[in-house]
Amino acid sequence: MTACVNPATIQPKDLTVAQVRERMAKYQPQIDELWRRYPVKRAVLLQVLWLLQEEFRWVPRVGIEWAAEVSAVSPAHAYGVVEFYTMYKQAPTGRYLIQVCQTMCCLIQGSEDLIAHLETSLGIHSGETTPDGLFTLVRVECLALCGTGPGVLINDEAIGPEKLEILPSDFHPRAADLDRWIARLRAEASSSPQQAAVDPLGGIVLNTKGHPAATGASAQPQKPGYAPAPPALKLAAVATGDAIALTWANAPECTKLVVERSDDGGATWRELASVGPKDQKAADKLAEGHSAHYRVTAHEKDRVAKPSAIVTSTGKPPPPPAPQPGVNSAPVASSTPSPSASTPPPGKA
Amino acid sequence: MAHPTHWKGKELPSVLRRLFEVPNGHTLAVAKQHGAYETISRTLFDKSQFELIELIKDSGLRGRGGAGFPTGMKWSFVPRGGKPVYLVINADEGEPGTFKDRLCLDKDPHLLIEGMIISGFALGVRTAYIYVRGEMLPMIRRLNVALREAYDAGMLGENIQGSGYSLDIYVHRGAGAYICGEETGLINSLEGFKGQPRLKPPFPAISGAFQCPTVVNNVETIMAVPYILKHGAKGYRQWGSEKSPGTKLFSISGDVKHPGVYEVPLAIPYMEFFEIAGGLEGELLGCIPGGSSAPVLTAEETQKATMDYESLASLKSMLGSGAVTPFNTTRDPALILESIARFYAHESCGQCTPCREGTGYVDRILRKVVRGQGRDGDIELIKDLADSYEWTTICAFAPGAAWPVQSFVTKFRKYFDTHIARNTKHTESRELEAVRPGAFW
Amino acid sequence: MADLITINVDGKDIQVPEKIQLIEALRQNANIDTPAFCYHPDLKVAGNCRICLVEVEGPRGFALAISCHTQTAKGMKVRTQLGSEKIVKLRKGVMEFLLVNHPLDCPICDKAGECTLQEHYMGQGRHESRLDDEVGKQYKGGADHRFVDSKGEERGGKRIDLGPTIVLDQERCILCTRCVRFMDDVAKSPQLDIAGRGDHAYLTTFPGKPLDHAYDLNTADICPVGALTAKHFRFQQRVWMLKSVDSIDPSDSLGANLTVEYNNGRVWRLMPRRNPEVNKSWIANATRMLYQDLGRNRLTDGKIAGADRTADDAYAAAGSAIAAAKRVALVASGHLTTEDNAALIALAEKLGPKAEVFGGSWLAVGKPDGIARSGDPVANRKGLQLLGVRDNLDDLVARAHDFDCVVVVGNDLWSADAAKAAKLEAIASRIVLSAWSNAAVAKATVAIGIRAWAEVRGTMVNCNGRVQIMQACPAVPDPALEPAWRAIARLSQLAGVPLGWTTELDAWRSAVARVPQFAGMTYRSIGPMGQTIVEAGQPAAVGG
Repeated sequence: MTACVNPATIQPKDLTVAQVRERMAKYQPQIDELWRRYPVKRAVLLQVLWLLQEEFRWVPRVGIEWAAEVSAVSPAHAYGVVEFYTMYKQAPTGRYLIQVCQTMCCLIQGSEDLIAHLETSLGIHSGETTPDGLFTLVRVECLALCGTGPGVLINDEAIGPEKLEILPSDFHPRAADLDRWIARLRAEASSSPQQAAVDPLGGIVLNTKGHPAATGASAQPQKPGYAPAPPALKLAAVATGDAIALTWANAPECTKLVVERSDDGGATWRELASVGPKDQKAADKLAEGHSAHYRVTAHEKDRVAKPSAIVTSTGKPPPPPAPQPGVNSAPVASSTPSPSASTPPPGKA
Repeated sequence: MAHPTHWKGKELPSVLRRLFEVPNGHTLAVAKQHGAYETISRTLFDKSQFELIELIKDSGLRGRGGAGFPTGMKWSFVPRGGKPVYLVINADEGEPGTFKDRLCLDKDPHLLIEGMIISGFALGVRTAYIYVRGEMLPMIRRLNVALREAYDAGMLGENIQGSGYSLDIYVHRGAGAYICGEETGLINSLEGFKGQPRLKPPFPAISGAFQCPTVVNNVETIMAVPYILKHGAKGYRQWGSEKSPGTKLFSISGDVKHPGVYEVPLAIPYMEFFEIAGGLEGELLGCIPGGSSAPVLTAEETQKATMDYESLASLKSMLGSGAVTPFNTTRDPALILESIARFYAHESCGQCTPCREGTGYVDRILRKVVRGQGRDGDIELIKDLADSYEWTTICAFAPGAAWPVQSFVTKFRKYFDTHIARNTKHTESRELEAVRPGAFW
Repeated sequence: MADLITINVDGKDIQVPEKIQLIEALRQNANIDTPAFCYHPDLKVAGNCRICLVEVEGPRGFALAISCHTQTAKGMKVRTQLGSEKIVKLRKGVMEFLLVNHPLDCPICDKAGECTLQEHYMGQGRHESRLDDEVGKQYKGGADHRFVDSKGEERGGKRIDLGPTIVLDQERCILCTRCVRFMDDVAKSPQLDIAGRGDHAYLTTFPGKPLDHAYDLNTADICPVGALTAKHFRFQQRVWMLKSVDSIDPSDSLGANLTVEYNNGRVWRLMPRRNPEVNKSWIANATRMLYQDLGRNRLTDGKIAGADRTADDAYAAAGSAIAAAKRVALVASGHLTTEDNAALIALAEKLGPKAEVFGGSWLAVGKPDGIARSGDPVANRKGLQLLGVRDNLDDLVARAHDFDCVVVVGNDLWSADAAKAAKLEAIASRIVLSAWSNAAVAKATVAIGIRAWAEVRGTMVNCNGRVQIMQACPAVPDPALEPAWRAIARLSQLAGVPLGWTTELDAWRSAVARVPQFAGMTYRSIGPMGQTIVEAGQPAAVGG
């Protein structure tokens, strides 16, 4: 266990917040962009910590104070956040961070053997860094690489047979593959001593207009009424004798609904009823054999939605006298609309 | 291993995997050739928000992140016309066994963006965020490139395609915490807090990110939306069952010939799905049907189960995130459970007492058992502890941590007993052991 | 008061206010002892300890809910530990989880005796330990303070010097976040947070930064276990040995409610006493440390011309000085109880035209801090005003030559403004009644020791017109010391104008007779929570 190492002892002795501020100044475009994106500054904390970790290759405590300052939170809050998320490294890590998944799917696929092999070949325990500062080996939980397990990431990317990949297909790393990889990384490190910079925010899109409520943003709030007014939907008519029951669904923002009837096949419409915004039914009467078209038009304050689909209904003979309880259910209670109803007329619906 | 296009003479759906095997399908140019952003036109702009939400309701689309909550219903809870509404995409894929979102973001980021524009339009969203788990930096790069392309093509920003609708999408990188996949944990993490779930009510649809109405949906859920808009609820319902319609991406790993992500209609039998994935390796012992939280199924149960929410509910398990992990008779269920228990102990956010202390306690006991230091009664103890934390916490993490424990020790008891029997003193009660000498502390 | 609604608890209908927290309804209306660690009536709800679980009927039957985050609603059906075996079992489970990683160091823990964990273990837990020592504990603690004990076990931080006032024991912490929420939401200075996660989570400040705030001692009060302890009280007393009386803050005009806790003739600590309308559950560190003065630098006898004399001698000298004086200035003050001031006024009346009452203070008035202090150090300023005494000390200074005797009671004018007070030295006979041997005593011709604020029974009126009672703590440096009102009564006798008062009630009745706003008020009606005066033209306040 390495937990007994006192983290206070590994903090850079002379580093001050002012120095961190100076070193992080080059990220100001990214920070400005982040500030624009959220209505509160606090929300940039995780992202700013990523920038910090990239710059220092770990998260020193003075840096946490800087991140707290940038995100307008207290240092204690920022420290709690750093300690909560496992990806912020609070001790310097090697140039190549090797993360090996140890969760169930990868366990089945042999992750323990792989970790044991790496520990032997690198001469360290998991959680430690090789003395040359090249490799840090950590056990992690699920990396979403279960299909090609055991999952092994080297600095954010999965290992493939030849190159680092986003998602290798049909490749299951074995001890020999790792040996090859470690040799390759060693060679890379000796040929190019300088570690390539990585954007920890993955090439963040800069110069966006941001969030309308953020300071420094130019985004405008959403224009109300960009979408058409909501119509009434699912209009259905059920005829029971000469009584026609109309039902529909309407949006909560409706302010009024007008039920209309046409007796001439949809050429002219007359208002049958004007009902409240929450009503979802209306009634009419049609003598036996008579047909009519119905539609419902929803209003939303000063806007009128397109009319609902049109339904046709025909008055039916009076229902048989109500059966005794326990006998057949009455047609009124039937949940399926009668076949004569709710057939839209041909043409546009 | 290429995704099979047909199975038993029928074409397998490609609602979500449209571009999975198309070279450079993640670029806008190629994606457009395959129909990307076709719906960002009058198809969308002539619809009212209400119609769109009703459409999703009618399609029967359910949340693909794990809980399977009907998406249309979730959307209908959002109050309209008040505070700003946020759409947050949950790409914090972390459920052990699940790797579909990684593939989706890698292969077809534009389908997600298209789905977000439609969803945002339906919900009145001005600013949307994609919360991507920290380990998936390459996917974040993909997304950022795709977003840049979409902005340049006028698909994002203000007044999209002259419709009057404006939407900005930003990527937010997580930093390694499984609990941020819980929607309120994710919202907290987005806001710069620790990813600890919030007390409910209020639910996010009423008060979520920045105290405003917020919809949190999984990547896969939103990626199904363009298809539904294009082909209607009926078109989507051609697959699946009445209550679990449509298609789903299933991530399969474990003892199967071709592990990977497959898109299949819901409600097909598990055994058939194993065939699609090349067939099982060895003799089936059990199967975790929906990610590590889902209670494990025995071989017999797996043979009965179909891949839909109802069938698994009837077997007291769940479809979860669609991560299928069959394991064969050469595996030791005790070791699998120990790994799952360690995972939950590691990922518990530490907020609620039962989950914080219980998951760690169960993990320590199980570790002792598989090391051959178990005693009689240990299995009853962990089962009892799991019962104790199952429903007593703020979020669904604790039940998710309890179910594998309860199901493994019940269904594969003899494997645990074998480990306990390795301890020569397993029958002795702990009181017989001498207290070690030493100072008080 | 809101209308009452009926809810059903364990099959019994009870009347409760609507939309209050269920835990409060259970505790207050149903009289069911409902345990809680994280819940505190004056903090935001966190809902993380889970011990207050009850079953509440919902659309799918009874479901578990935490009573601190559930609001009462009409027709609600609730099952508690009295009506549900499941709740008993689950609470037992929560207790077991809390104790799994809690050190068993109650014998050396300062919180023992007032520890919520102990209380609820007796109430809800009482389980047999199932902890196997090979499984071990996960002692909480940040890496900065971890250590390996003599058994080779890794331990959390045990005595972390958190700041000027607080010591932290990370192992004992049960992560209820009360202190974090107090610092965030009440003190508005987020210096504490929980770091780490799972059972490795621990309480900390930013490493290397202290917990330092004018109210930070409240975190030790609200800590349900012995994780945060106040340095000034660590290892001083076992809490079950302490006895307590109710009192109020004498150093600020908000009059924060507190208790004075004493044992063996000494006051050991002051603790906040919850009063939702005054100070909630909080008192300032400065108020809390006032107890130290009660045993320090006290004037227990008398002084005449700077020389130590018995109290009786001093009383006699002062009495005859008052009797002999041609013009006497009596200085009342807002530092005294209403009873004390009433005695001074009564004495002035008895002395007739030769006496004149002055009052006021030269101490600077600050701003309210929004927690438990108004910023005005003169606690009973309002009470003095009600008695009709004006703030006219400057007038006395200007007219010092008109007087040949001044009586100053419990008001250290020389410390407040030495330059102005120096003018009073022109008055030949300066009689000072004081609990402490302070600058005023040094300048007095006759000084008499009296009881300090904690040792007297009396009332003060806070800045919002709330009359509040201080009870007398029996731990007094010298039992012969008199409260100020009685000392004045004694002087009146020696000066030949006896008031004839024997108890503080005589003084209170005299005050009630003078102040119409006090009409009808008695010590009983004021009660421990205080009673608000009715200003002329305002509707009568209901209740306390």
